[in-house]
Amino acid sequence: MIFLVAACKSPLTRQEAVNIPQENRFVALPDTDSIPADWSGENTVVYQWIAEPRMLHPTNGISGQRQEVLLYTQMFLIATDYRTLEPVPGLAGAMPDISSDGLHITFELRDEPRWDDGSALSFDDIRFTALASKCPLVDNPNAKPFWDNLGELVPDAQNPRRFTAVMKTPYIHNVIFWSDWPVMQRTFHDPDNVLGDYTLADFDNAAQEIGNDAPLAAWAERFNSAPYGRDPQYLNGLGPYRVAEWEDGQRLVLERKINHWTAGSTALNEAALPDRIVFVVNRDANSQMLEFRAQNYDASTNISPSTLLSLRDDPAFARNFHGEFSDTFFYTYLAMNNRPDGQRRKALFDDVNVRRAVAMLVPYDELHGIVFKGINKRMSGPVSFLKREFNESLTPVPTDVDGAKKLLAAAGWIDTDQDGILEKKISGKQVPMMFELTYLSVQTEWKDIATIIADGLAKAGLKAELRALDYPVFISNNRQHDFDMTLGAWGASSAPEDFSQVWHTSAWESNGSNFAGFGDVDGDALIDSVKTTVEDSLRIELSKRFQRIVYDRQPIVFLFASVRRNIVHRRFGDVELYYERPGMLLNNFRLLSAGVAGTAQVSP
Amino acid sequence: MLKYIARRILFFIPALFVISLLAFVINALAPGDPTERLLPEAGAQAGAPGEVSKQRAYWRQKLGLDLPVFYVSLNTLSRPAGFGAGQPPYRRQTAERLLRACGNDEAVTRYMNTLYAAEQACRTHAFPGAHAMAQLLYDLGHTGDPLHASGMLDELERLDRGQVVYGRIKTSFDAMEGGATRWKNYIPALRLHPDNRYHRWLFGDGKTSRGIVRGDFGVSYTTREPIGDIIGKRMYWSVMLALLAIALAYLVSIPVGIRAAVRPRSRFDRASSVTLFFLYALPVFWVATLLLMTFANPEVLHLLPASGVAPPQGFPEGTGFWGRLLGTLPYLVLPVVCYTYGSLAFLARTMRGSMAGVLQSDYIRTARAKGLSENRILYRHALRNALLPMITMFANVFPLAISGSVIVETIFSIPGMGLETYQAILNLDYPMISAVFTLTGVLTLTGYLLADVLYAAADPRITLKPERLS
Repeated sequence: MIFLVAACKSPLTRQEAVNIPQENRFVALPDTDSIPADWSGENTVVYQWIAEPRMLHPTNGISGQRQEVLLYTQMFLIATDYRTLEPVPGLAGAMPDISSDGLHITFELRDEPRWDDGSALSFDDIRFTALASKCPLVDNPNAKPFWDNLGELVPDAQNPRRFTAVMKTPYIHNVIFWSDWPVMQRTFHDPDNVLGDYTLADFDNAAQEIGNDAPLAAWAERFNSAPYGRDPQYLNGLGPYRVAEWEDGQRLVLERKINHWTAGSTALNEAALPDRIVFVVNRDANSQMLEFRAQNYDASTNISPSTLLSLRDDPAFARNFHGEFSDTFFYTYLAMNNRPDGQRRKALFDDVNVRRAVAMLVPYDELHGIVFKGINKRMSGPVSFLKREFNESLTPVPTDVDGAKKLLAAAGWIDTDQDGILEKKISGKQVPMMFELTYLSVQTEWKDIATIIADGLAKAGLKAELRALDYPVFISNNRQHDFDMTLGAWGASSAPEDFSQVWHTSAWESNGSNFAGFGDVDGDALIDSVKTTVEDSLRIELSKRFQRIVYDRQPIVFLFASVRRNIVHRRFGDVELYYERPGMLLNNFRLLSAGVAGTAQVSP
Repeated sequence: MLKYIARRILFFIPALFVISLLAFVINALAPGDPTERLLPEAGAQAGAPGEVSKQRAYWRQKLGLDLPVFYVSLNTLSRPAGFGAGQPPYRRQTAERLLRACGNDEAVTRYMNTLYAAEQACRTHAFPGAHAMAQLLYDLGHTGDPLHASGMLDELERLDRGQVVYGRIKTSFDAMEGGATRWKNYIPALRLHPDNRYHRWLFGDGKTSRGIVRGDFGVSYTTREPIGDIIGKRMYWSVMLALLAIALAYLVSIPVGIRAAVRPRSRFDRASSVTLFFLYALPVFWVATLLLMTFANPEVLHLLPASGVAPPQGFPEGTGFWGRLLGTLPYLVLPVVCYTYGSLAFLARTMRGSMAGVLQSDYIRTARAKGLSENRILYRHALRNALLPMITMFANVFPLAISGSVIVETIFSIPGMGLETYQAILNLDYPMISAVFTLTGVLTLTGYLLADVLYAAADPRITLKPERLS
């Protein structure tokens, strides 16, 4: 186990992070040994976030905050062991049996889960969850393509708690996708069993016809309605906490359920140590800092790195709080338009030598010191160094101005008119190496990064004009490939890597997230192989091969891995920090109380 | 008076029509597609490759985004409404370019469909050369230049040993070239669309929404809550802050303006003028942060709370209305100051100018000649007339109540309309944005109407009846 003590002020080095044993991928914070008198003894965790979820509907909604709250109010067939980052049984008694072709996945439900009305979890609930999620009239478009792969649910004739999910195609997420959507109670959400008249096959490509079915349409209208996403009375779940209060835009209060079936459980997803968990919205960095100084908040993973650094310099804060950085699967990048249309955007970066040269011109040390405060680690490819499938043979591209100049010259970019900007003849026209570098206007850090990179590029005669954009315009331009060079960040998780979203040509063609225009038919074939290879060692081998291809073609410059900024009040013990979102599990925070053996002593 | 009000309300109708149309057009032309926020990325799933495209088409239809924007559209004869709909964006652009080149929409659509089907077949079937053919077909699908495409077809003929794929594509390509009707590109066509997005927004779809003319702004794309409910909840705080801020601004600026007017160019006049304009010049985010770091800082003065409108854990159970109200007041002090200080200079200078003008009037001179006390002249006779311009300012409170202030609400974590509107813009929540835009217009008009009525009430010389020409 890695113990990150308070004295340790920065996360592990890149190599240390890579070398962490797979079974110990978390950080345990030490419990305090004395409790000052001014610490609150209330068993409530007040957690700060920067935005509230738009809804807490069990199937509808996409925000990260929603998923965070559902961890405490709902239960999933498969859970994630945040310590090992491996899937573990949730409502299933054990990990499922998977057929050799990966298409038949057999689960057996646990005996003890009980809904709030006392009824037991049953196959009926699983079937309802799948039907509701797949029903074309339900407002969960983001989930539909995942559920589309579920062909059938077959109950075991002998054992009512056993069933087999029949998948249409093998897919690496066929098991863990059950950890994304909670199991819903059929009798609560569909008391008249309207969905009982349908099969999963009925919901394949049938939106138009199904829409004319009046009882189903009425059920869907009710199921999609706002109360099922926002009214505490309708937020039904198997989790150990219930939503007690939701003050719009201010706070969301979770309350521990009395005599819940998980009582006494020490499983990460079932423990319920605090009486209440209060989520409070606060977007302003200064205000957040003051609230923490006043000990009004207990925990956060949402403050900015500079706020955490400022707070850590304050002895009063250090006395009351843990303040630690931890690694995440997210990273920042500099994307180049590999496949411009030649009209709106010139073909400046379609040559791999130019892209490699850009990567060599980025002043990584300056970025690391000035913007990332020496905390964040370099990325070398599209997969985090925290993951098993990370290709360790890929080393981060170093800053090398002379090397970059040679590559640019080899690609035909030469400063013929001696004006300090490179030129090249493209389709008979002399084209200068001048382009826009776009970034998000919301945070000043993006501007700082862009400015430092532009200075670095200028050393070899590449002139980047900085342009800050608001989010809707920024994302729209990127999706429509209307950019030359752009700064951004990608989110990722501990799940096996599916490269489709960012690297498949279909994600370029459909204006998806393959902004840069990477890929060809061979690359697509390899991506398809990775996502359908269930056998782990072979999948990892293919994944490493794909990472190498991306590295060699350098469609984007991989900058730095993002860090999570963790604050936890020292009045809580047993605190662990995880690489996976949400970074900490509030339900496992144990209130340290004076006089209780093994906890802490009161200090004046 | 009642006739005047009724007539003004009648004038609201065309004004509101224009406002609603503007709100709608701005939304319709704004970059981005709301379905992009609702759907996962293409390829990020195990299902059929076209699943996300199907979902996008379905959701565009469900949200009414597939309909024409307005009642009429002007285009060329070659381009029917909905041309290219359902195709991925880049294919749609290719189809557009081919249409401009040949002018035959049916032939272009057939050619594009044949290309796409052939590419998918090559991707999914492992016959010799399939990968290379798929790549070529993919590139062909992105080439809107028929001349360039012709060269690529020669390459396809070489690659496709069975000639089945090549044969089909060549046939549809030739049909497109042979059936060219380029003249259609030069004939304008005016088309009517009785069922369009604007119409549905105004009058509803007859099933789930009743339209804004019946007071139904629809439901938010992101929360599924009725827009009216969201605005109702969020406006509470914005209205409260706006009213408190306006009250404070008037309470401060009217006495300051009067005193400055009574003794023009005095030390007080100069000092108040400089101070208020100095405040006016200070950016609100800076003042808000300064106030926060001074009055809500445990290390300086911890007199006021730093964020929210209630304690982080809420008020204790059983706290009554008055308890909550009193408990909330400390949370509103700093936001109200931030809302207020910027308007003080304008209001005080307006009051000063108005009062100075009135004090020069004949009737004031007469009052002085009659020996009335200065206070009586000032507060009994001059003030009422001098307040008239201030009444106009009062009209601004209404739109402020719905627009709120993003900066103040963000810094002090106030759940008001400013932040809600900002979030709606980021999330492309069109129904919400349109509703805010339209309601702001309605409230601005209402404010001006109220100002006119108050004018008449304050000054009997002002008549709201139309003047008759003699």
